[in-house]
Amino acid sequence: MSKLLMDQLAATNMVYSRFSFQYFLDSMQRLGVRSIELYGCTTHFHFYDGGDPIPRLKRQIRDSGLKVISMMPEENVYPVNIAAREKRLRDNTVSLYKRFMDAAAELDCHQMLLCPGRPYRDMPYSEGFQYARDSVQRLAEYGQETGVVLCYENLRIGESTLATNLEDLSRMVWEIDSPYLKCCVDTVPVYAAGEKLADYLEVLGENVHHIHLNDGDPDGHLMWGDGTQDLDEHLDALRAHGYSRYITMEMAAAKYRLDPETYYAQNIRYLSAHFDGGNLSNSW
Amino acid sequence: MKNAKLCVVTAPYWHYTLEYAMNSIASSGFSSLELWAASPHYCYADYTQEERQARRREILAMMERYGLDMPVFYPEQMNKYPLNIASAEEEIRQFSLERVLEYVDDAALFGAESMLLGTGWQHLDAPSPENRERAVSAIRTVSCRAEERGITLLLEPAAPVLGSFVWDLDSLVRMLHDVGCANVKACLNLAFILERGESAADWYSALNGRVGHVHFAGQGGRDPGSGSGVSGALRALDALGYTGHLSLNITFRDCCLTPDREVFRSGRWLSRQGFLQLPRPVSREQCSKELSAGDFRRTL
Repeated sequence: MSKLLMDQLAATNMVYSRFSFQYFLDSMQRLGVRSIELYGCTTHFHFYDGGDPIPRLKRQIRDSGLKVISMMPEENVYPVNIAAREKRLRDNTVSLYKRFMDAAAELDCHQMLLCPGRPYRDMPYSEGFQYARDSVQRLAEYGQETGVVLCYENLRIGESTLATNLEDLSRMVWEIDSPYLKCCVDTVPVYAAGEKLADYLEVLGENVHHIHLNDGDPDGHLMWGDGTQDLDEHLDALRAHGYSRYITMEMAAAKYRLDPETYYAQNIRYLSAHFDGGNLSNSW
Repeated sequence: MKNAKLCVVTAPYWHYTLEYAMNSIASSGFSSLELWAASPHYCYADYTQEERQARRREILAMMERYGLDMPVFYPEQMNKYPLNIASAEEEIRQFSLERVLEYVDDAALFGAESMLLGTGWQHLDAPSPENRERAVSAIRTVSCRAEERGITLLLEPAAPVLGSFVWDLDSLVRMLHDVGCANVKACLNLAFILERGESAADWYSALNGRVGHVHFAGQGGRDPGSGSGVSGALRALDALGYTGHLSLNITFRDCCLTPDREVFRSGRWLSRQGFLQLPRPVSREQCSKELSAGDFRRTL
């Protein structure tokens, strides 16, 4: 069995979204975190805020000493949707995501999260899948131009109908069949679907490019210890399959958002007792 | 509530087509909707100007088909979207203000009487009086356009975690006072008030005639029959003389899975409480024809 090291852990600014970006960067330094998955949202980093946000971002990241290991633009709440029935909305979304892929490349970050989108629930699943597939195909081709690998993520049924289980998540990856389309597996939708992380690793293999490691009861994107999931079962599955890439702590529940640093510190302490050593401040 | 004017907020239907939402709302016995203007139903980011006009006409035609009106317009601004009329960053503030002013025009074009307005928000690590002054100034700017269009603006408290300038009764009263515009009023959120263990009657009295709208739901944003004293709160507002609109505002996590069922159950509960008159059951002869939701209501 391989080892899981704290060096593999990354944090994200999602739960800090109503704090300034500088506060988040300073908080990461106080926590001893080196690797971050950059959540693209207003005032932190988003093209909706006007102008060219990339130069400022590069300067802030450089000055902070942090490393952006994954780009994660807001994709489930903002007016974006790769599976939209409305062509303009779909095209606007693809155009915006390409800008984020460019930004990732400029930050020497070679992966970006891609959520499945939200087809209408009163329209056929097959129709929504085709719309999403078209968008994913276009983005995967852009991935080849930019050197950015897309990580197609599973979601809960309350978030999307398109990729809520292993079969549906895998389908997109097999059909597109591109080295620039892999998967991010989030433990919350896995657990909510009554499935096992081990099955995802078994079936998808090297296509599992990223992990979001979150507790849930069964959902909620909670810090570890607040939910009912079996952390060691997840970690043993990762060890057994030799998973050696990054793992993001994506706690996002509203109850953490008034004091995110305190809860992140608790989450890190909890995880460090289950990982196999290593150092959060190391680059991986 | 003899003079209750009940609406349904369309937010739980955001994973469904707007036509489905209107069909569901009308079939559940309601005659008014509060359009949550967010993608893909109606959003500033989704259209060119021509497409926006066409979409408005499409929505108005749908409303007519289902026998619905829209007394209240609820554009998504700061809870989920990146609009902030009080932003310290000039470009964000200006862009947000322009979008909100367009939404005021939309509200009038949809025939609405009032519109929900987000106060803007500030970073939780950098609160300041200057941020709040920007919010007050922006709200006054919007109120001028609203007055020209005959629209009442509604301020609703938001959870503290959002950094809003209105998060409880005191901050709401202070904001209304400081803005000082007659067409800026309060929207009470009964689920929010009851979860805090407070009294709708106390809020109404403290606001002293400045309540322009009410959002209601049961515990946790579920159907009002799920408990939490909503019936009592509605009756208390009636006894205090509230004659405005009330919107069913289902918001619980995953309400998008079965919004029709939640609104249907809510309609049945409201009917049993005497707040809503449902359409009479249709005759067997009428059932032999294909009936629309508008037809159901015309059996009244």
